[in-house]
Amino acid sequence: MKICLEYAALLDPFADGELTAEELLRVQNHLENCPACRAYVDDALAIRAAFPDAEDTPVPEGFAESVSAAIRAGAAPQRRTASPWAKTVLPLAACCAIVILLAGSPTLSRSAGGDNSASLAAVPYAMDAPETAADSGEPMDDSEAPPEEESSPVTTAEYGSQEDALPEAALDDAEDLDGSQAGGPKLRSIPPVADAPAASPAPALQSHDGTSGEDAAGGQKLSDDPTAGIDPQSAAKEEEAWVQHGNVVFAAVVFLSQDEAGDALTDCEGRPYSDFNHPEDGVLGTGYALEPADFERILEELGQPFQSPLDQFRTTELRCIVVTADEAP
Amino acid sequence: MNQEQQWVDAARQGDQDAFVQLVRLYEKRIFALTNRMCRNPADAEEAAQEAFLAAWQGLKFFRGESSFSTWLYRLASNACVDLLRREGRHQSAAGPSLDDGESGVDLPDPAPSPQLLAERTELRRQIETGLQALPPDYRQVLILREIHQQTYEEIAAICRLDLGTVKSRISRGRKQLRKILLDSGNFSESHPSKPAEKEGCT
Repeated sequence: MKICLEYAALLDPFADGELTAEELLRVQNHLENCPACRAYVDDALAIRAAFPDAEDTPVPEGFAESVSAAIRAGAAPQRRTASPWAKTVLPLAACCAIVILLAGSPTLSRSAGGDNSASLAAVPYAMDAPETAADSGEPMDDSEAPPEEESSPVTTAEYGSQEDALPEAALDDAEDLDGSQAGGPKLRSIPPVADAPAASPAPALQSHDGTSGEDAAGGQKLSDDPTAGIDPQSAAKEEEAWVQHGNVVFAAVVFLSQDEAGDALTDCEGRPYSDFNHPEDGVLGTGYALEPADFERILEELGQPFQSPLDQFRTTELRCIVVTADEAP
Repeated sequence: MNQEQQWVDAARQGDQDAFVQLVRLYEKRIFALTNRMCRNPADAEEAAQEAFLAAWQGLKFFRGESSFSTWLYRLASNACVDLLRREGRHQSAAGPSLDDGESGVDLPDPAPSPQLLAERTELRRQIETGLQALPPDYRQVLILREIHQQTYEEIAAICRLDLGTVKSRISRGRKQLRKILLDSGNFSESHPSKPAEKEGCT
C-alpha cells in the first residue's frame, strides 16, 4: 500500500512523538480515514516494539573495572592540549637541558648548545603538530551520506528549509569538488553556522560539550564562565571567527606558516582563528575550514601528509589549517 | 541535584570513583550503540572504552550545557566512526547491502523465554541483521531513536546534524529496515488497525 505523499513526511515524526499539537491532530484525523498510512504507522510501531532494549545489552564482565584501571594507569584529567607537552616535550626538554649543561663540560669535544637550542625551539612546533597515528580510510561524515534517492515531499516549510540547511547543502557542494574539474578543484571554507539559513539550530558546529548550534553559531556567549576568553560585546566578530573549543571543535587542526602554506589556500575564505582554552594567545592565525578530502590533499601537496587521530571531542568533521604570520607555533 | 549530576560534578573534580559510577550507569547504553555501530564485539568494546576514556579526559571541558548523556553518546559515536575509519570499514554510499546477511554481530539472545517469545526473538535477530545492512548514517540515527529513545533534537545534537537530516535519515532508514524485514519473511505487513485513537508514541 502506498502512503499518501502529503503525509509521508509526517508519519515517522508521528510515530516518534515529534509532531506539534496541530500536526498531531491533522495526522490523527488522516489516519482515521487512510488504511495505507495507518498500516505504515503500525509497522513502525511494531518494529520498534521488537527492538532490543538498551538496558538488556550485555556488557563484558569487568568492563567498568577495566576503564577504571585504564584511568588509574594514566594521568588525572588534564587539559588535552597540554597532554602532549606533559608527556613528551617536558621530558625531552629536560634531556636537552641536561645535554646543554654537559656540553659546557670540557669532557665533551663538540658544541651541542646551538644544536640543542635549535632542537628546543623546534620541538614545541613539532609537538604541537598532530601526533602520528594511522588515520586511513574515508571519513564517515555527512559527505558520505547516501544520495537522497527519494524526494520526500515537503509538507511543511520547516522540514524543507532544514533539508536545505548548511551541512547537507554544503556537503552537496563538497561532493562536486571531488575529482578533477576544469579549472581545478575549488577550495572553500565552510561559513560558520550563523550564516546558514537554518530554521532551527544547526548542530553542525557546536562546542564540544554539546552547546546548541544556536549558542555557537549565533555568536552568543558560549558559557556562563566569567573567565571565557570571548568578549560578549563582540558577538558580531565571533560569528566570523573560528574559536577552537569555543564555537567549534574541528576534527583536526594543523598550523602552517605563510611560507609553508604558500598559495595553497588563496581561493579559500579564512577567518581569524583562536583557541578558547588559550585566550591569552589571542588570534593565532587565519583558519581555513576544509572538507576532509581537501584538507588531506592540500597537506599532501605541501609535503605534510596528515596522519593523526581526529579530535575525540570534535563537533564537526571539518578540519582546519591555520596559517600563522610567522613560523608555525 | 540527582545522583548522576553529583557523580558528574565529582568526576569533573577528579573523583575517579564517581566516574566509575557513571561508567556503570551508562555502560549498557553505550554498548547498545557501539555493538551495532561496530562490526564485532571486540571493536564495540574498544570503541566503548575509548568513549569513556575520552569522557574522563574531557570532563574538565564539559560545561554541562548539554546533558551528560548527549555528550557521552557523541563521544561514543565519534569513537565508532574513528574505529571504522581506522579499519577502513566503510559502507557503500549507494545503499544497503541486502546480501550482507552475515552481520558479524554476535549478540546473546536477550529473550527471557525462548519458547514463548520465539517469534519475537527471531524478529529481533532479523532487526539486528537488518541494522547491520543499513548504511552507517541510517543505522546510527535509528539506533539512537529506537533503542535509546532519543528525541530528534537529541539525535541532531549527538550526530551534529540538522533536524531535517535526522528526520530524513530516520524515515529512509526505517523504510529500508522494514523492507529487509519483509524480505526476510519474519515480518508481516500490518493490516490497517482500527481507526481508533492512535497517538504518536515516543
